[in-house]
Amino acid sequence: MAIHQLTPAFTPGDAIGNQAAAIRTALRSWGIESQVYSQRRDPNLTDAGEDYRKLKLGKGDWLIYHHGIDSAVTPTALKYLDRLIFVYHNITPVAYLRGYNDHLAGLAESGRRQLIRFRDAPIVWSDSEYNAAELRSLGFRDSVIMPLRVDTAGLQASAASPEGQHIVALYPKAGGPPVDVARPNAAVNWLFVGRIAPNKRQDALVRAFNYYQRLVNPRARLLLVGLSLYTPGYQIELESLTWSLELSNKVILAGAPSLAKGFGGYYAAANVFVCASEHEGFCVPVVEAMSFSIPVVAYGSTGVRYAVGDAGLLVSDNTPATLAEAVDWMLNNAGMQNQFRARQQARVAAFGQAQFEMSLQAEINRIVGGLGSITRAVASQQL
Amino acid sequence: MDPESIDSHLQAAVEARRQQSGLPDAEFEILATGTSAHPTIEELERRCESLSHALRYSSVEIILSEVKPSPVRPLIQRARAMLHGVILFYVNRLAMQQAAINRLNLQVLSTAAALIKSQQVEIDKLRASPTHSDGDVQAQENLPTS
Repeated sequence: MAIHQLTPAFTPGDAIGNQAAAIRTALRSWGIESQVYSQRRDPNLTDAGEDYRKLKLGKGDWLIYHHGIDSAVTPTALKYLDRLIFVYHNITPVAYLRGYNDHLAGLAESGRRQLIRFRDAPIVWSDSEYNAAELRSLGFRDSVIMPLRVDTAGLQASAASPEGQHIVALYPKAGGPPVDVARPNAAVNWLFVGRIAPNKRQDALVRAFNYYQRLVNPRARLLLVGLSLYTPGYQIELESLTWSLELSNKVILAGAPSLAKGFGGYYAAANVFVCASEHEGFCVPVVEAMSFSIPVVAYGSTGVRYAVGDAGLLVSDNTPATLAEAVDWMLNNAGMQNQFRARQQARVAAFGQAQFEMSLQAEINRIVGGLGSITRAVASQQL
Repeated sequence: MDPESIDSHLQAAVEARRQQSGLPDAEFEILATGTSAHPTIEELERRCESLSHALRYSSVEIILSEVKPSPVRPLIQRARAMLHGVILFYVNRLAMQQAAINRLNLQVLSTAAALIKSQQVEIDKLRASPTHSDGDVQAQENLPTS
């Protein structure tokens, strides 16, 4: 028996790609044949998966299909609907893409239209309660919440590496108010990690940061980590906004370094993680920030509030004043930070390797009627 | 802490900041709501002026002097001179392209500044007119947001 996976793209650093890789590793460790089939792959990966056209399911095999947008792989998924595990990662609303990438907007629109064709999939997984609620509204059977696996160990190692420490030294963070006069370059470092994309509202972060450094604390930086892969026009808007506010030396568009290039260093350098996103299926970077015990301030929209849970400060709008005052409140309130810190570790554990494997194993057992060897193998690893 | 308590606390914080800042209400509102991140007319005129100053006095020398080859002309010196000439050619070309872009930017900024100025005149006229409504003024002030 095999359990393969199908996804439009299999690329590292992408939440869906990371999840597919984690599922493949777990299944193989339990002796189940598993490969990832996709339309696009990263050839630099050690095991980059296979082209989706090579996928052939044998008798008794299952297929996990990751749906985030319409693509050439969708018909293949529909072909195996009777033994499909449909995984919904949410789709960016078209309004955020029109004008920036009309081709992608078209794929998003058709991706939403295609959703109802998967209503009869025997198994449905969602990576957040937000996504599950959306599927229920479309008439799907109840979906199981399959948590995204967040690799915090890799991030910590990246932060501790020479490359990560270089980033920490490049952006020294303030020890906390009052301003650290002994370290002239120390500043309150705001951080957001995510693709430069209109739905993630990095422009709202820049405006909020402008309010903060004009009225609250001029010794501050905004670190924006991410690439504008699909909406380069939005990055240009962001750069011209930064320029017009005369913040070019305080707003750092850091790109997207790999773990090997010290990506974790950005988390280590941060005083606060701030999120103004208006649409997220989940928001993995929130959990990553929590693994570094960084206070989290976020606009509680869509999937973000499920990622934050009760371990961060959720605000009801993403206007500049609200976000900036929330950051100031958080940074000056040790009691609030301690309260959230205590809950953060529970959130991080909820998306850790152990919880991920337990959830996946429970589902695989349910699907295939309880393979005793899987249960015994996982149980012996946990002892 | 429930969402309503958080909202109340933040609203009070914003109000306290408004008082503390000493900024005119309109300017504080721009910062607080992000409704306009566009430069003011004065800032635009200042940028136009600095750009035009840069074009006139910048270090971008469109015409660069020729390198005179050494009278001795060993092969390697001749090759260096030719290479230097090629580099100068491409640097000149890039410099001319950059200057053209800067001139275009200057034109765009000047046009934008003129447009905003005329908008402001229109707004002032409407305010002064006894028959104007708040809707007319609001429509004039409805600047596009990113």
